[in-house]
Amino acid sequence: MDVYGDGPARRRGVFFGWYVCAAAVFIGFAAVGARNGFGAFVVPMSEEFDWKRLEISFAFGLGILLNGLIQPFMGQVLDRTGGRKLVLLSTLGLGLVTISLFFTMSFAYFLVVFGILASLCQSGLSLTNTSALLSRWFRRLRGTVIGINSTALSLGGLVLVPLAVYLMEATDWRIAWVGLGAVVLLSLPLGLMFIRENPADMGLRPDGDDESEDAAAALRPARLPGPLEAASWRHCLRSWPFWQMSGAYFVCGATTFILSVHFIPYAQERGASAGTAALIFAVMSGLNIVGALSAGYLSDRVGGTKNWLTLVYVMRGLAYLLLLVTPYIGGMSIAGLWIFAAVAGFSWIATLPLTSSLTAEVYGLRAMGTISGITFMFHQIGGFVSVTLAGWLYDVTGAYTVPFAIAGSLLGLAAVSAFSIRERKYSARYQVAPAAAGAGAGGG
Amino acid sequence: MGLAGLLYRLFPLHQGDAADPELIHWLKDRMDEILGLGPWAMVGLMGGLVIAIPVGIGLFYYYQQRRTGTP
Repeated sequence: MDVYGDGPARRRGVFFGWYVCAAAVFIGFAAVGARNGFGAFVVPMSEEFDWKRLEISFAFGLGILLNGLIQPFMGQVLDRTGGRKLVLLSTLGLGLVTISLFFTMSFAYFLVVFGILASLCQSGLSLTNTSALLSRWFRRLRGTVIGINSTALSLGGLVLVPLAVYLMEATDWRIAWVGLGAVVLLSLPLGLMFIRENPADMGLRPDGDDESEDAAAALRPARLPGPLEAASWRHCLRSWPFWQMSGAYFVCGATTFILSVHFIPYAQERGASAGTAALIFAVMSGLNIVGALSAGYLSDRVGGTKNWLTLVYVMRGLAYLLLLVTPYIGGMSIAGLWIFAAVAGFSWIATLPLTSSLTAEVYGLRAMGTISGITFMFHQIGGFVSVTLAGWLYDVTGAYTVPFAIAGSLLGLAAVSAFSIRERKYSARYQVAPAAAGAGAGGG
Repeated sequence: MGLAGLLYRLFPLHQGDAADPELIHWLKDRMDEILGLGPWAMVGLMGGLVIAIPVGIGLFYYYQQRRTGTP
């Protein structure tokens, strides 16, 4: 079913937008790998310089906060400049900054280079930015493409972090940073060739539709922009969908980050070995990819993006419920963790393609980078608050039951918040000329 | 675990998961068990795979451009 009613696009060869997508995924893959490699460097760098874990962790913590806070501004740069220069300069910057970690001789140097400079470059390459750019290239397949783009997160960590570990084993940590930086720079030619801001600049149309479709398009009901389509991010602050999506995204950050930090110790408390706990978490990470791809695809094919978003939050809430209940069922302590991983894994990053697609459909593309950057900031704040609160509650109560119960309850609210978005009223996908309104697609 | 200790695990774990040191070492041990290659061989194998991706995309683009003459 084609919810846009535009029919299949005829293409000659592979649509250039797919190359833009491939370049964005590889750049994201390299950037995430360079960043996520941090975990592998903690021990050798701490040992060589006699740094405390607290210090080296602070450098990363600073980067996280900076990354979240700066995202709206990077989004604004993308909206104003188109994005190509931002992505290319950020890629070049991240590559050089990562390589320059070779010269680390003091904590102050590491703090400035990794904690601040690398975080700034990383913000320019964030998924919210590349998703905003890809949204201009795809309309019918927007969810699918943003879903593909989101897989860079998992793939980068799963491939490049082990590469860094092997490089470190073969040489030392300094060369390993150079290796990771080189991978980032390797993505630069791909960016130069394929990162383009708009299909119109190349005489192309979104999704690769060609001009011969104009005649057929004239016979179809005219589609109108959504009533909330914003030329400026300020407009969106006065509308409900922005706060509904941001509120749900806050919960998304809160409920994913809390488990990212606390899952392995929690699983070990339930009797899983360190290896089993890590394996369960790895399976959950692998299912991220399936979840992100499926969510984007289903949103494009079936429509009703907010319904899929609601389902994702419900699934994650159910997973939390299982996590809390299974310890009380005989023989289900470890099995319960596996069931949790299976249910939660699908929902882990599936929110990203759905939220980005919905943002594009409701607010249009002109300020999408900034608006997505602001919602991402809420996501990061949610993560920061939940992890801190969960640690404190664990110390007070001696168990994870209370923080996980709070997280599960918040997911109920997130599901309600997502479901209450009036997609049919606000999304451009459902806006057709009044005379043909009856021909609109279902959903909402 | 202190606040800063928690912080360093925040970002990568949601967005890549492999950054957890325990998971990294678990992954490495499993790969060593399965492949049994030395570190340089693994670097060559994984590095080659990583380099092949952009090169493959670029080559496919030029092949398509020559075949269809379109961007």
